[in-house]
Formats: sequence, structure tokens, C-alpha cells
Amino acid sequence: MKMTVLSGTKSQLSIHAEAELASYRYEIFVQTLQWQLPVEDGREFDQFDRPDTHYIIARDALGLICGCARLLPTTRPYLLDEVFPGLMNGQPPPHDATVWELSRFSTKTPGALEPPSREDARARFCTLFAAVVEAALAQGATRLITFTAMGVERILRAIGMHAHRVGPPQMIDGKPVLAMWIELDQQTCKALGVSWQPSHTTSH
Amino acid sequence: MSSIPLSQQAPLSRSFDGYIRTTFEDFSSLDFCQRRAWQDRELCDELIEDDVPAFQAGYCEWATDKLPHQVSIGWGWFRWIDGRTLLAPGGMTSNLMLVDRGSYDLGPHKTHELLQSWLTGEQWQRDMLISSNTCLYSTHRSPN
Repeated sequence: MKMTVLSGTKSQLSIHAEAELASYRYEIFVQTLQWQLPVEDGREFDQFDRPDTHYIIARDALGLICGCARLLPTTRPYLLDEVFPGLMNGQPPPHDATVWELSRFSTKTPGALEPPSREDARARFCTLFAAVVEAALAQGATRLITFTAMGVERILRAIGMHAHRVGPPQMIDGKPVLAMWIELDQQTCKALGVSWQPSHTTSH
Repeated sequence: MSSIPLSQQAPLSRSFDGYIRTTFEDFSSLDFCQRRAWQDRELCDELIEDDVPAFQAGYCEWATDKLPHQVSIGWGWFRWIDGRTLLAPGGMTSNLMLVDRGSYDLGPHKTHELLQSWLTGEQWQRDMLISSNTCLYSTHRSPN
């Protein structure tokens, strides 16, 4: 499926695009995945959807949203730190300009009559994730922190990305959930077909 | 290549990148007193789509007991029609980076390979009870 991906901050989104995104997130995360999230008039958004929040939005050939992701700097309030710090397994959540949080990642198509083929689903996942990595690198990030279902950890491994868990999975809404680090290094860039600039490397 | 001299660390300390660094030898002596396994329908469907002859599948999670440097390893498993339980393609995941005796990282690939080699020497299938319940077993043994 042909997919175009754009990224920008909330303040760069048109009011229409912002409403479309909130409706898409409601359909995917609330209606389909049944996450317990704040909802208003069929739209899902929360306190972390701020003017400086970065979004990655994928659209299909008809221009409809078919994927999204959200990036938050860990130097400001973010989801894992404020809502799920227990997933850090006793470690303090990061507060570092080079670490960004990835959340609200989806490549599902609302109301699709048939699920995409494995190949198509994998291609869409990689396309959106590559855009996430490019957007994060452009902000000076060297690593992402995120939390996700067990299956996604397997997908990241299978793609060849450099991802590693923080600790054991913990139950959230009755399902095992893991916090993970994703290194924005040569391995991850190569796996996603993102051009790697050694200047992205930081010394420690 | 990242390196933090072991001599500067307390045993099993967490590094700047979130990895717990240890040698294979020290890893092999860890006591994984938390052990859980459960079935996962989505994983089973995924494996079948990949032509893996699975009729049951799920995840195994083992962890050591001590926070905040709790070692966590996990893997997918599937049960074959003949009743054998095997490691699912994709292998193991962990929060570990194995290092050599000089404290240099072995890298994620070699760490992964060594963890899988280690797992072949563990009787993890024996711990899994034949059950149709979602949670096959969950144990918490006292650390030795």
C-alpha cells in the first residue's frame, strides 16, 4: 500500500489535521485496542499533546490517516515518567535531551475489511518507524524510550533494530507490557534504511 | 564499542545505556528465581503464518530477584504436534550486555547467541506444565 509520512510539532499541524489525528487515535487505541484513555467527542488526546509534541502521521493513497506516532522530549513531562514509572524496574526514568519517548505508535487502518498481509504490515511498520527515527535524530536524540506489548519486542528484533528491554514485563490492563530502549545507532538505521551519520554518535 | 571496567562497578550495576553488563561466567551463575510462562494466541498465529508448525505458543520470562539491577530474559516458545516444546524463531531478549574478561562489550549479536547457547543447557521445558490455562506457571523461588 502506498503511504506518505509527514512529521511536525502540534503547533505545525492544521486544526483539521489535529482533529483527524485525534479521531484516528480514538478509533485505534480506544475502540480497537480498548486502552483506557481520556476521550472527548470521539477524539483521543491527553496532557502530553502539547504545542511542542512531535507527531509522525502516515496517510494512505486516499489521504486518510493510516498510522501515527508521538515523540516527547524526556526533559519535559512524558508518559512513562508521569504515568507508568514502575515500568522502569527501579531505575529513575530518563531526563536527558538526547532521549525521547515514543508513544501512540500504530500502523493499523481503521475499519479495514481485511488485515494487511504480513509483508505489507511489516513494510508499513518499517516505513513509519524509519520516519520516527529520522524525526528523533533531527531533534538530537540518540535513543528512544518506549513501552510496548511483548509482540512488538519480537518485531523489533526480527527487523534487526538495536532495542533492549529495561526489565521484566509488568501487567497493565491485564496484559504484559515492557519498557524498552531503542538505540538510534548504525544498527537501527541500517535495519530501517535510514541514512546513518556518525555525528549522531555521542560520547559518554 | 562501549566499555565500563568491571572493577569500577558493583556486581550487576546498570550502565549509562540501561544494559546490565556482566561476563558470561557471572551470568551463568545467576539465580533466576522468578519464572513465568503463558500462552499467547497472537504469537501462535504469527508463527503459523511463518510456516512454523505450532499448535500452542507463548512466552517464557525469567528474572533475578534484586531491584534495581534485576536481570530479565525472555523468549517465545511453541509446542509442536508431537508434544515437544521448542524455542520460537526470534530467540531471546534481555536487558544484558555480556562483556569479555577485559570488560569490553561482546555486542548485542554475540550476547544473543551466547544467551541462546546457555538456554539450551537449561531444562526450561521441564518447568512448563501441560495446561490449557492462560498462565502455564508462575513461580517465585527463594534465592539460593
